[in-house]
Amino acid sequence: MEATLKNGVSSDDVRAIAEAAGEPEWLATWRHDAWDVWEQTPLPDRVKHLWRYTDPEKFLIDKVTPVLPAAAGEAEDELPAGMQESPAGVGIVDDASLQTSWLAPEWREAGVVITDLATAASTHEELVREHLGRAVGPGAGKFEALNAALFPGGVLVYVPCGVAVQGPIHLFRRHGIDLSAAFPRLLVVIDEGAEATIIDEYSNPGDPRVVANAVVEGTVLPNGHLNYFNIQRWGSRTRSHARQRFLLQRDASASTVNIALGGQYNKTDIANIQQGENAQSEMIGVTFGAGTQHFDTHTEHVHEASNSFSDMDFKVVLEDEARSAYTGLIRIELDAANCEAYQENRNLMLDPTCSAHSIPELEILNEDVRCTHGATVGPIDPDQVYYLKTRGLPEREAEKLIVEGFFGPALDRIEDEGLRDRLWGLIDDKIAD
Amino acid sequence: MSSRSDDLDINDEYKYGFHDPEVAVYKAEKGLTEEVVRKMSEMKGEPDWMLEFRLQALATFRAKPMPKWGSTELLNSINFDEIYYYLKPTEEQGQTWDDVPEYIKNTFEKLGIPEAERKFLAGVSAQYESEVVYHSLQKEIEAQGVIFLDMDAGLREHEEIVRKYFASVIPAEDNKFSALNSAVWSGGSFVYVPPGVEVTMPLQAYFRINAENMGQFERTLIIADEGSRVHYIEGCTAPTYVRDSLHSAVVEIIAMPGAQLRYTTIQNWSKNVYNLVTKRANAYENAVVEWVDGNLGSKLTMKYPCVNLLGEGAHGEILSVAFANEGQHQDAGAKIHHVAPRTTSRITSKSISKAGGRSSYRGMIKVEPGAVGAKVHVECDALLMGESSRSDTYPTMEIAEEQVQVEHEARVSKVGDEQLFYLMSRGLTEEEALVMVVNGFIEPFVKELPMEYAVELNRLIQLEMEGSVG
Repeated sequence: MEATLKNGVSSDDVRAIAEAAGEPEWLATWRHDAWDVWEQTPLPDRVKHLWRYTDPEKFLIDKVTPVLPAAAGEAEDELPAGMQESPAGVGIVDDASLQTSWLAPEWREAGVVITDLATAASTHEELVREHLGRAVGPGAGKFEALNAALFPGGVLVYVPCGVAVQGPIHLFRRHGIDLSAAFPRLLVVIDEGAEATIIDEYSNPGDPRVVANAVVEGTVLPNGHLNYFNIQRWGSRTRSHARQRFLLQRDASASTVNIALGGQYNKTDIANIQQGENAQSEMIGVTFGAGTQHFDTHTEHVHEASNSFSDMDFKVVLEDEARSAYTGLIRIELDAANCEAYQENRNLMLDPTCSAHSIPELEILNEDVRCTHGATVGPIDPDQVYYLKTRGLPEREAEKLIVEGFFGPALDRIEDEGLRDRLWGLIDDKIAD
Repeated sequence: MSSRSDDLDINDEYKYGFHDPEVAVYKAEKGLTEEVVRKMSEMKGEPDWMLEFRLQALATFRAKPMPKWGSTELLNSINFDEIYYYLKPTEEQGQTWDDVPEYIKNTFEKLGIPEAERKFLAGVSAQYESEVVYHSLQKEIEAQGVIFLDMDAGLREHEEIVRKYFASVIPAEDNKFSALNSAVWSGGSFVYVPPGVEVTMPLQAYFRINAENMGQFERTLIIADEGSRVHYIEGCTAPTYVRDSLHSAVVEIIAMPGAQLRYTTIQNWSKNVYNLVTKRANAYENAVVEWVDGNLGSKLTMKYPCVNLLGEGAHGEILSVAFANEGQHQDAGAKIHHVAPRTTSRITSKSISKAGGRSSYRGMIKVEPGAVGAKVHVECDALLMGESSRSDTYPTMEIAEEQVQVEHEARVSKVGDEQLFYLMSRGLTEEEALVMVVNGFIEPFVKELPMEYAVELNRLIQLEMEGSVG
């Protein structure tokens, strides 16, 4: 048995977290079941290629402690100060709990919900019971089970039938406690014909030592549409394991953008599952690694239903001694006819000391398909630098322009101008470092 | 010859006297033991170091777990105790013409294979056996100083060369099946081409399995010395019949500076063979190594020809075609390892999955630090036909050097309706149109083959495509 794994927590901690969260009995039971899965599941096998480049032991929590949830703050009437954009809603999670949440009156009245999962487990019991763990359940993997057992507050975003939310719902998830474990968890439900844009931003004020284990899951019901942005700005002393998975039902669509800039040692697993006919998915990834950062990213587009479509564009820039391992899978199931799937992975290496691995995979079980993928790895084209220098740009400036041009097609797909400018700002800051 | 197989029960105690050492006819017992390995080595009169090597490899084989990737279900179904690990040429045959399945006979008929050749391809003729019995060495090649022997003779006559290079490219511990081959290898080719010599005719070797449950563990070592040129061809397009069997070869190639070497394989084992092969080449300064690899037959093939680009300016090329029909899994691919600066490589893989067949491309591109100016281009095309056919692409690229250009592209699709419509509007039937599209699809491969192979391959594709409409 692998049950005696190194970690500082026990099932007592699961009970303590469930009590502190003030959640109903059914959710506490769910956590305990998840804890059993965590205990019974061995560490991922490094022979399996998804863990070939990353050591799972780095995400064990024997040297850090989980944080107990505090009571969630009341919903605010006013837009919290300091917001640069004009959002439709805001949720701020400090350390463990949803401290601040706000929704523009229009959307509050329309029935849109931003709340913590412990509360929602009572107030929206049916909804949470149906969708919690549906896309990423405790059985999804060892670390996913740990998140299910120990997540402190969690966030639910629910958009009711036919409501098209204008403007982004912006979630800030900040974790600033040194030597702690962070378990961000987000559940998104976009009901039939509804639409929403969610910006989900992670950071570590004060650069503490943290092991983060995040789960983002959701379902987009028929005809629904979700725009989801994940902005990973963890500090330089954070290890991050993240799992993100959305289920797309009939005629639903999702566009996800994952921007990874922070963290020291990162493993991220992103998937959109086309469960219903005509489901459409677009997935964009932007990773910028510097110093000795490690990024291991897996993307998955699984087509379970006919006439579904997916497009994936994953861009990586590396400098110094940064490492990236990208694995991406397109899988077309036996019953999914007439699907189209595209996948592209491009890696730009700025220094001789970085390394990039790329494994774009296809598994096609239905003949009626159109599917392509491409991957490239290379340095900055010296001809391009030369050309820009002849135009009077200093070398560093020329490099910056080329990196911008490289990320451009991915970031240009972001419609919100304020957000796009802020993201460019973050990337430019990193180039300038 | 009367049908001996009627009263020949091979599970019996070999009561027909195969053990008689005086006539040097020996059939090893089923299963793999140290005793079998010792006996085999003794029968061959091998030097002690080779016996040591075999025994060491046997220990490695036993210690290594089965690969956890690929077609694990099929791999785990191999029963290593049911296999003969060594068989000397003998006049006794394990099967008769009546045992040969209809589909194989029909294919012979349609390909127009001569009667005598049919029998040996079907494993009925006594002419071909576990060891390479057949060599056609042109007189002029001999005069050029080229050595072309079977591996056992190579070891006897050129022990120094063999000892220097044997297992230097693929050590026994490389993988479970290279360890198995290292322990029980038999037959295969030994080729040495002296510096500057250009061998104009392709060197061809036919390797056959033809006793029931008889494993084939051929071992080939080719050394192309500085500035030499040679083309080596293994296998043929006609189907090669055996009962359930394991084929696990090891092929090692050394291309010295400036050498150019092409290795062509057309594999068409009958659809019950496990074909688990390790092939690797070391290419030094400005050497060129090309693997041309066609996989048509077998139940399961796992084969990933590899080139280690060890010298500056070396070039590696892998061109492969896999055709997976009903009940087949072609898990084929390519590996290129860029170690030296300014090395280049190109991989072109074409696969066809039909009627429930599964083809997988599995590739590895590795660029080491310091391999500046390396250029890699990988292209994988897959064609899917028929429900429940499957196509996988698993390319891995590990790039630890910045000054490189690595490109990978893959496409998977069915035969385009527009293509079929166009061809049929020109008066072709749907089946003819399909054959034409498929032949066009593998054209880049076929045009690299010697003419007689290309013609046969085209005809074979036509046969494989039969019944694909309606």
